Amino acid sequence: MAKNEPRDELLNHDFDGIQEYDNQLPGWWKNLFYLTIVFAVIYLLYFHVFSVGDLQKVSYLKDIDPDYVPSPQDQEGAVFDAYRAPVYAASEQRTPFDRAQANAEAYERFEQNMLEAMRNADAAQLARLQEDFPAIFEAYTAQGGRLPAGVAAAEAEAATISEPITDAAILAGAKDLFGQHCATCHGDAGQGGIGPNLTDEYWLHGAKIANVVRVIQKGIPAKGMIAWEKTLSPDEINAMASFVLVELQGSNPPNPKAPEGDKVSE
Amino acid sequence: MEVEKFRYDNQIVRLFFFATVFWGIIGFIAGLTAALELPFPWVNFSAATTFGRLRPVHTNAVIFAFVGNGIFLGYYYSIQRLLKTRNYSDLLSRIHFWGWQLIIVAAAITLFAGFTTSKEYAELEWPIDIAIAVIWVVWGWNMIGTILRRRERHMYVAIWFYISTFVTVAVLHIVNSFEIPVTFMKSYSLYAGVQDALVQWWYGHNAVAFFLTTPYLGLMYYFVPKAANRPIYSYKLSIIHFWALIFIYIWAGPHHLLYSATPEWAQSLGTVFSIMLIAPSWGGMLNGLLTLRGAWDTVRKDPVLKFLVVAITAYGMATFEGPMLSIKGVNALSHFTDWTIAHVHVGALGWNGFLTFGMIYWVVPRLWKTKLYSIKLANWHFWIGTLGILFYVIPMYWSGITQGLMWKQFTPDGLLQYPNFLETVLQLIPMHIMRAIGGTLYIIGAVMMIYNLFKTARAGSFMADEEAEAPPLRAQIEHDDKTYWGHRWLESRPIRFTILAVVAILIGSAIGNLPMFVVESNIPTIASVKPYTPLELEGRDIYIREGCVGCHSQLIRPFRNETERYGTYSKAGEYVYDHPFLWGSKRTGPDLWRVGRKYPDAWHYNHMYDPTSMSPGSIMPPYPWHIENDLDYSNIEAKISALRSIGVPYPEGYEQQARADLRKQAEGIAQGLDAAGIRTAWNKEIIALTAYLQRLGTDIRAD
Repeated sequence: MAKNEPRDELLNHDFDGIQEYDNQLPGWWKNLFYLTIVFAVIYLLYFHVFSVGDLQKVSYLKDIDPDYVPSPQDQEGAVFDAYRAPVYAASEQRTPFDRAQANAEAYERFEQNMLEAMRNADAAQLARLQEDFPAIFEAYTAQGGRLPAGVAAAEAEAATISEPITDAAILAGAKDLFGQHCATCHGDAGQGGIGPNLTDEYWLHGAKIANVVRVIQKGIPAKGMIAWEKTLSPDEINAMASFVLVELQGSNPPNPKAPEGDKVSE
Repeated sequence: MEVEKFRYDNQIVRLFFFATVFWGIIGFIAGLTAALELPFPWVNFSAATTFGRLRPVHTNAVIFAFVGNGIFLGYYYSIQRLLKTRNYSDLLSRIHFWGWQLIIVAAAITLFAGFTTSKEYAELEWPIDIAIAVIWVVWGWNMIGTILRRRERHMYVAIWFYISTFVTVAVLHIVNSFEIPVTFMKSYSLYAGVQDALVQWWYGHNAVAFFLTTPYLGLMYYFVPKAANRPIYSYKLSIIHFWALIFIYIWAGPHHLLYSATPEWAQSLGTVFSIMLIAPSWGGMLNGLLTLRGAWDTVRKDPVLKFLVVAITAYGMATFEGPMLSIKGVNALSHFTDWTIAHVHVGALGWNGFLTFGMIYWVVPRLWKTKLYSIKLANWHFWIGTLGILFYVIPMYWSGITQGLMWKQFTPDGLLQYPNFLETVLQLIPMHIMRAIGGTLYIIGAVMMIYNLFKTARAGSFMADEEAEAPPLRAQIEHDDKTYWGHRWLESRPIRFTILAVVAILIGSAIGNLPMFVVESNIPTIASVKPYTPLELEGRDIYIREGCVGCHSQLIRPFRNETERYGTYSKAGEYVYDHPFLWGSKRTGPDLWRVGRKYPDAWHYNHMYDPTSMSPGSIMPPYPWHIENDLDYSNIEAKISALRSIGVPYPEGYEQQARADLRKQAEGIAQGLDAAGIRTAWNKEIIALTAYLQRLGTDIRAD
């Protein structure tokens, strides 16, 4: 369109010798502007009016758990509550917000039924329910529900070891990890510092391999021991606990920290 | 037609020129020093020069001292000539100049001394805030007076931008600076947590818009056509992009808070208004670059035009990148990393710096009625400066993307690949050294400019008052029987124009901020969140004083990698007693929002004394003075009353118990440290700081 129009027509403007043309706005520039406005409208409709797009809480929960089904309270902030509430209060009954809530209530009833079914199921049924409804099954186990036969045994086996590992290569690897993660508080030779001495026979939280594994996994938050289960893999934690019991115990390093806890001798 | 004779005031232009160059060099050196502190922590040699305190010195010096004086230099030169009149009042011009310089000196002293509100680009304490408001109004008064005394019927587009700068910065500065004074140099932000964050980034983003952009567009509209001797490409485009720019810009602030605890309607407004800002911003770039049609031949030879062309190009790049960084997916990677630092330096070094240099090279020979001493040297400055920008921004993009990706990397087992934050920091050291080299090149260029201009001034003779003549406005109106309508009409009605500009910027300001204050549901309250204890409050004030927020965020974003690394993501209701909010904008160190009770007190004691003892290789500077300094809690009563007056629910009369409570909690911590083999008195700064750090983010913990 701009092609046929006269270009570079000088206006009768003169500011300290600066003149002005009155050229048409470049077509691509105008289209870009329109396009961004359309984008803005669609974006707001997508996330806040029709609630198609996931807002941050829902997208976070989906990232944590691929089976997650959004519930209305997780969509908080989806609508322009601040603007809409006073204006459209009368038609509140028909807003998508209420429909979503109804859906969620239905889902919740369904979930309750399934939990009840899981509690009453035999091992084979339970395994099938787990396969079909993993999210609900997780809620079921979180409430202390029993696991299908076989699965429980396998998980228990993977989680702990009953005896310390003595493999030299694994212990050497654990020694490196100890230097990286543990030495700042427990001393480079395990002699203690901010944290307790790991080389003496005194224990605050139990001297068995399972006790040590648990302390490393979950930490002792009240005293500043960090939970390592998000940093170290289960194998690394097993190796680390073994390193403490096999290598550090009885190593008598210089400058030991005074004993804490109860004496345990085996 | 009768003609009046009058004289332009060049003296005020010269004053602002000296100030621009002087503060420019100071600001650049502060930046270089801060840059060197990251790869070489020993550069943080004293309390006043630690990174946390130096960073705001650098940002304030560059924004308000270098660019600020640059604005006024170009403004005073151009407005007199565009309006064919001397400034309204020479006295107001002088008060403006000296007042502004005094504010800068006061800012430098107080920031080095640790007096800070911690709100970015608004760090100055309340007495200086008041001085800024007064001096800003002096400038505006002088501007409006000059416009009303003009001998040019219509206001040129540069003046539209000057007007919008004046009114908007006044609104932003005043609203964001509402704070309750405790003592002469200590105050608490009136707003808390999420509200404070939204107000601050409405301000912070629009400080970029209306301090670093609109006045410089005004300068561009004067100096580009002057230097190129070409007409402006399109008057129509000027009108459309001016109004679109100031109307849309003001909404975009929340894009600094994507994936945060702010309500998502605000975040989405930030995103969509940033996207809609691309075309209005590019309108300015187009009008600048297309004005040069037919003058590209001159660009090859003329260093002034070279600087201006790179400045406008940098503006175009930065204003495209900004909207891209406002898209959620991009922001998820870029936020809190060096990417942001790269982005702002394209604007600061390229757009503001180079436009200032181009303008100065053009103005100085005219003030001293001579020719530039050496075109060749100016060309050298141009190339070294350009190289400096590239050496600065490319490593910083590299560094930002590297760190962003490292934070997010999981192993196949579902564990963080780099669980130790420090690992992701040490990875960036070569890039940080390279950007320091880039900054050095940039400074070398600026020093060459100073030499060149010194020689130029020496060769010429300064013209303090420049003779000019023009017919009076009255005679022009009588002579011109045309009636104007539309925008042309508005351009001859400065007061109505100014009011319309205020309306344009108030719409987005109101819709973006007011719901946070009037609608309760936007900040769900959490019953377990309690105000800080007196000791924690004192510790928080130390945290603010040391500028910890410059490197440590207190905002965990709702991403799996962040909750794995730090803990549960941040909820709006956790911050309701945070006056001011301390979310930060950059993670040079890890987030601290869930650091409370993560480590024992002894860990913090040792870490503050020497960070490398607890975190080998750490680049955090040691803070041994916190272990030696006595805690000054003499104002604790005033602090409690001040906070209560702005809504923190300390019980009536709690002031009388505050000291005893403070001491009791401090003694408890000292005893605990004693048990861990560390002997310290209870009344040391480290005790308060530890108490604060151990409180962070623990209010919603289950245990």
